[in-house]
Amino acid sequence: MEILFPNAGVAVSLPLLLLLGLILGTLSGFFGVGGGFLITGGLLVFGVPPIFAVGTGLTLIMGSSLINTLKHRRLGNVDLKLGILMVMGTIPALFLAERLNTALEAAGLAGPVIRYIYIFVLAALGLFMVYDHFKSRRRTGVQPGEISTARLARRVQSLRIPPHSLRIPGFGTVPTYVSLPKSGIESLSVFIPIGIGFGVGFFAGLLGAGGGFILMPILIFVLGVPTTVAIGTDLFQIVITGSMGTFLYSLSNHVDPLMVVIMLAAASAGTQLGTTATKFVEASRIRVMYGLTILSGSVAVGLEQVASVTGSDSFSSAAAFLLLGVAGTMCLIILGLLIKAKRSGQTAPATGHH
Amino acid sequence: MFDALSEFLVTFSGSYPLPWALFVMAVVAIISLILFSFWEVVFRLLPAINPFRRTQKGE
Repeated sequence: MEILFPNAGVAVSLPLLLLLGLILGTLSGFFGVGGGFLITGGLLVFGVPPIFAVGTGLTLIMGSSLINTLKHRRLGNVDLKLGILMVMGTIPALFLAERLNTALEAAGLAGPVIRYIYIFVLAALGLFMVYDHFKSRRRTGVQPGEISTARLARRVQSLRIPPHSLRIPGFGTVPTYVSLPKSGIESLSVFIPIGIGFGVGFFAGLLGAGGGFILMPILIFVLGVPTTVAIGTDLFQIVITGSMGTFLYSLSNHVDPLMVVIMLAAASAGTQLGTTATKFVEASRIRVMYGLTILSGSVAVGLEQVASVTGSDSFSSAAAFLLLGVAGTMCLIILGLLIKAKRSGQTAPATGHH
Repeated sequence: MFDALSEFLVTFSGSYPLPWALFVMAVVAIISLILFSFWEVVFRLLPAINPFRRTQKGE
């Protein structure tokens, strides 16, 4: 059953689009990421032109992140103050990255440079999260689920960066430190989340993604934000980057809104599954599953790079199928864990703080 | 009806870039809010209509 999408000018199978939307919504709600690498890969496999795959994907990410953020906010997982501070750094960085991207494009380096950065960042983050999981399990005398970088997080939180106050006309002298009780942080220099937002926004703009896959581990391992709060706050940030991407791609007429609406309906159902599961699944388990998913993303981008060098389409198809296969498997695992938790009568979050 | 919708989408997107970009953002945001509200209502009603739920003592 295929539908012709007027803006993209391509006919795509309706059940496959719904399935992709469902997978995206589930993983986005569970991991707190936009899923740009997954949705673009999936749409390319369905025969959607590349530029429409990116534009339509970003628009879907905006919608699904909005639903996820609202749902996580109801669960008390969104630290709005932290999110707004990070957005202040993200927006200028996105424009700066767009400039660099244009320069790389003009030099004919954009494709390979972006892919190599993707491979390195995804592999490093994925391996670190898997390593952290096994290291935490081996250690004794620590709280269950506590991250291996707890000392680093405490040092970052205690950093004192000048100026310690700013004179703002009409407001008087305002301190540059904030308390983030939702994230369990007593006092934090505002320059730290703004700096993190800037760095993540720069990477996101350079790679053409929402940046959630980088931000989520940074919030957990560098700032020491509890995993569920990191997921909710990360999604809030993705709504902003996704909205900007949607605006820019719509302006150049590279978004198919009909395709977005269809997938969004399915993604909203997946969102319910993903966000609810975060209440029942151990935080350390969420982190290791996320690590494995982005490791498969790294391998998939590596296969894409091989495809571009050798000119073989089979590597490209293998990359997309690997991504969709791993993502689908993760959704089934999430469903299984949720059913198991419900059957055992578990009602409270599976772990403590982290 | 689908043909009319397709024609509208193609004409609008090709002729008015800025209103089109704002239209796409508004449509996606509104539909997201509707879908969020829909699932909220479903999950509030679900326990009430669940025939397998345990009854309280004395019910």
